Amino acid sequence: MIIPASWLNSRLSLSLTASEIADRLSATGFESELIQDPLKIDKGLVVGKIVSVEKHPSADKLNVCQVDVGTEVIQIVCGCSTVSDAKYVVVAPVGSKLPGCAIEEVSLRNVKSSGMICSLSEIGFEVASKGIYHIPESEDVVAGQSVGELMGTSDLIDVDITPNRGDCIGLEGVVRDFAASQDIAYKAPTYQSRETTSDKLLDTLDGQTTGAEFAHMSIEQGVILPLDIYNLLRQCKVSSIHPVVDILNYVMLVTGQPMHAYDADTLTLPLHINYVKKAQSIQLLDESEYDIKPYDLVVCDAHQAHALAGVMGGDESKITSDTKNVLIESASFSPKGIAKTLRNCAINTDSSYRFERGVDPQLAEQAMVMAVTLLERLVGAKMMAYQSKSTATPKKTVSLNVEKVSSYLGITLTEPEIVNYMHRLGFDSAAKDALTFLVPSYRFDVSSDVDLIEEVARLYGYNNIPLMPFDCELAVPEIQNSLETSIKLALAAYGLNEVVSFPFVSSEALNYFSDSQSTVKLSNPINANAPYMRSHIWQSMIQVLQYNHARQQSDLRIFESGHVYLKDSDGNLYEQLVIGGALSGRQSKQFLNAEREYNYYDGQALVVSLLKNLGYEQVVFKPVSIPGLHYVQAASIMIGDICVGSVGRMHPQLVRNLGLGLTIVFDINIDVLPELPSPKVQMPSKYPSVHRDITVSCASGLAVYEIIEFCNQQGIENLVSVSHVDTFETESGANITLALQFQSYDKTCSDKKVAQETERLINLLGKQFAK
Amino acid sequence: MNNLLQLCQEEVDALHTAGNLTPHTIDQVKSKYLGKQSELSKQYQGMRDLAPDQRKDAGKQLNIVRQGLESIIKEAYILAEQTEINAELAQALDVTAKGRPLPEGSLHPLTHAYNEINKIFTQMGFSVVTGPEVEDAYHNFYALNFPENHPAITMHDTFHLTEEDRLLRTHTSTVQVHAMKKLQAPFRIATPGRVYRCDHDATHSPMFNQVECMVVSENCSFANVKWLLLKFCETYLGKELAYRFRPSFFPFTEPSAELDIKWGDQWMELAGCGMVHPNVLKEAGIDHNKYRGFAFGVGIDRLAMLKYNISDLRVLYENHVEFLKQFNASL
Repeated sequence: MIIPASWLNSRLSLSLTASEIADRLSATGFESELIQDPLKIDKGLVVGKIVSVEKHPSADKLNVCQVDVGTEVIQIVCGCSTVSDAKYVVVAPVGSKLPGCAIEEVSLRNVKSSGMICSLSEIGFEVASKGIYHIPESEDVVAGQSVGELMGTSDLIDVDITPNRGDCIGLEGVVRDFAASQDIAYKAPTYQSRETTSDKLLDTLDGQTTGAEFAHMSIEQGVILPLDIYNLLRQCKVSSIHPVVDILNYVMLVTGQPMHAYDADTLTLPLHINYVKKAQSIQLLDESEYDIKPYDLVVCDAHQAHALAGVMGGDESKITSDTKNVLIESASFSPKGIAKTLRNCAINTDSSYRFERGVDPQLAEQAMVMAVTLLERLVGAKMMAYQSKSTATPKKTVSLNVEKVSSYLGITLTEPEIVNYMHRLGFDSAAKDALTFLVPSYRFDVSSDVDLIEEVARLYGYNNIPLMPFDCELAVPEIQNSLETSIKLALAAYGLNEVVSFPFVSSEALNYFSDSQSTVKLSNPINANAPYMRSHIWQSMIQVLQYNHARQQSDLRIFESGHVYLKDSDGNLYEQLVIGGALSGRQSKQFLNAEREYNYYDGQALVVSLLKNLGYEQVVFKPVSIPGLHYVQAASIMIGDICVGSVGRMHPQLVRNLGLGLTIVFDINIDVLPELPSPKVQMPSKYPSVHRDITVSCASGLAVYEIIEFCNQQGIENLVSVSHVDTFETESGANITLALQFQSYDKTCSDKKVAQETERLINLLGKQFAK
Repeated sequence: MNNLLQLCQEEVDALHTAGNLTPHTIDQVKSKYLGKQSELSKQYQGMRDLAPDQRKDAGKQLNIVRQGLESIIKEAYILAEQTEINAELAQALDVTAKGRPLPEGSLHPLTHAYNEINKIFTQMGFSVVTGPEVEDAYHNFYALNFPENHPAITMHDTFHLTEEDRLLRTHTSTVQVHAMKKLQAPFRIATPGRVYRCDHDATHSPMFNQVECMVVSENCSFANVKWLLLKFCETYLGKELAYRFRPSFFPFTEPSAELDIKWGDQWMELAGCGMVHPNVLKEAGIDHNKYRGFAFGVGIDRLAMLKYNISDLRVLYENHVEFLKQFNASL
């Protein structure tokens, strides 16, 4: 919300700078910053009093005016036809500046003109009317007066009002709280109640609405308002629409009470404020069509709804330039009464913004009186009927305990101090107990003692409360599962760079790498092209590869740790923590090996090293088919019976589509990694190991892991490891060379025994895998 | 016979001169003069035909020759090794030229931040607790004293999933809700994690990171949370801070405050804190007449940006490898 510094100063008779005010507001809970008024009014602009107007001798459309600008009477040639009716105008004399031009003495068809009579848009207001601005007469307006002073130029303060402080979404509310926090005397505005003269304006008052004021008035047309009203609207970024609407908006900005004006001749009085009984649609002021549902609170007559209560009026009953009679509404809609409407219509207006945060029920009448007075004075309005209707609301009370206030805040306070703070804030003590307080009607946010403790702290000063270490028992923190960190550290040590990306992916990316049919989707994505939550970590990593590829970084080794979002067979959503990696492009020239593209085994070896590093010794790879990966260069990573992830080469078509080089990817699902057995250390054997290489001739296309697994299951004596050395493809099949290692813990393996066992294994392999 | 010694020496010298004196060529020379087919070997065999008294002398003679040959060969080996070593020593290198490093890995700056933050909390006896990112409105809002349909909920710019009542958590207070129901008061926990809000510009990321801390005990105060929050920030950032606390509003704390720190010549909002609202404790089944709580929440991204002097939040999630490689691979 925007507050002109001059407003607060004049209301409280202060002379603080805008930045002093902003600092004090921030310190008491209203985060504030200074903003520049985009409109600079030149000091040279003055109020001019029209002395005489004559037709230009040689131009029909021009008028030659003599204008009193206080110090002298100057001659100005003016093209506006209404100038003959004007009394006071805005004059830009020679030497003054308007937005985009400097005023010089000119001669128009041989008549000298020493200045310019201005329209509102010429001095920088964004208004529709093009003619010169007629300053309404009042005792404040004097020829020669500075226009800036008349309209109230000021430094502006942008104040962030937290959603609990609905009472401060109006200038007067901020003034009241500022006075309390700064301990400055505050006098609430006084007003003279208007008498109810009719009961035919409003009938039903429902929807927890605590009160409503209605005024039926006739108005004059084509009226122009004083500059200070236009200026406050402009400073607060409210557009000027119609003099009546402008006055109501002005009153709302000052008091915080939203109001509405209907063209009374379009209504069938009385009106009702109630939940709508039958579904209907309404065209709103912004010309949108809204279907009213049974829980929507509306203002309606016997025929139709004329407004969504507290949100927006209807188009049909709106004020236009032809409107002769108006019905002004000032109602106390309650936050609860309109909550459902607000959530469902999702329309944000100045009115709904205030009502959903709570508008003081006592404001409705006060604001109405202020508006009616202004309408009478400025729009020539005449009261035809007035009705006030309200239901009494009991005052809440909250009690404080001095001991609790002190210990809660960590300071020492006395009862008189607390009572003083509360009284300053308008919380009066109940008759019987000084520490039981009546909550003012505007404080929707206060319902328990802690709410008042905050108020005490606010006035005591948050920065006056000391920093205090606290006593607590020693506690042994729960040890975290650090598997994720261990994996990250290992991968970084292997030369991979960790990335962190958003989990939002496109429908196209969602089809890669995962064949899960159920998807997890956002209903309000930030980017309409990426509405899904990733089901596989690679789906977001490919975006990182592409991003870098587009920036001449095509040789990449990256990994990412993050959640994937999945559904089980019953459609229940769950998340898993996954680490993904990618080796893309070429191995660096600087590496010991010559530059080359990555291959499947680079990824596989990395996974083996990584899992060994963590303590998983028995890792095997089983061929698998994964969408988006090469048909025959992809494997599941198995620890025992558990598939903990996969490794493979991205499909050649996919890498081309993505504009990437050859890419090897792997992923490890941390949440399914089996628990590691507690570390068991084995002493090395004292006896030498014996190595034998054997070659198995078999059909091509056979997976090495099957052969190795077979070897391990044959009960070969003292065989401690079988590893793959080489595969040589022949025309008729493949020759697979395996390295066998024999070792015993009790004796040296004899050559003879090793030879026997090797022979036995070769025979078994021959039987099992012969071509 | 002495001729043999001379021939052998000449052959070794010739190899040396030719620069071809290697263990392999010496092996050949050794075989020629001392092997089974050598002249010397034949001479030894010829001794069988000699008379016993002559045999002794001849044997002596032959042994002298054999020792001579062996000594030439031995010297040759030493010479060869010396030549090899000299050759290796002659390989001059520019030791200032750049070698071939292993690829440089790195950990993301946020990983560094998480690690340091977790360390600070565990050293203070806090348990670090984590939880799911997909939540429901109860855990994200209602259990935290957000009234239904309250504008404070709208301010959270929540991402909703298409499933009924499923959303991406907007703060890690959700983890506190789970923890409060599980733990016995008194306790102290820290809940770091990723959170999501539907907002994206130079200062807002739709995904960001937060650590919240919560203490529930019988006698903690607002002065305590001020102290703890400030000490935490100073410890992580490694310096004393100019600071101010401002009143603010969070539905789950009362009183609520925000911490601003002076960075350069600007005040910068860094964290929110306050006394846990009794409604939050009550909802979690904690006796709010006996226990009180305090809590604070800090943006990890913001902390990391301050520490590493990063001016634009977006660089953290763009993942340009040139940016990432500046961060260490070890923690």
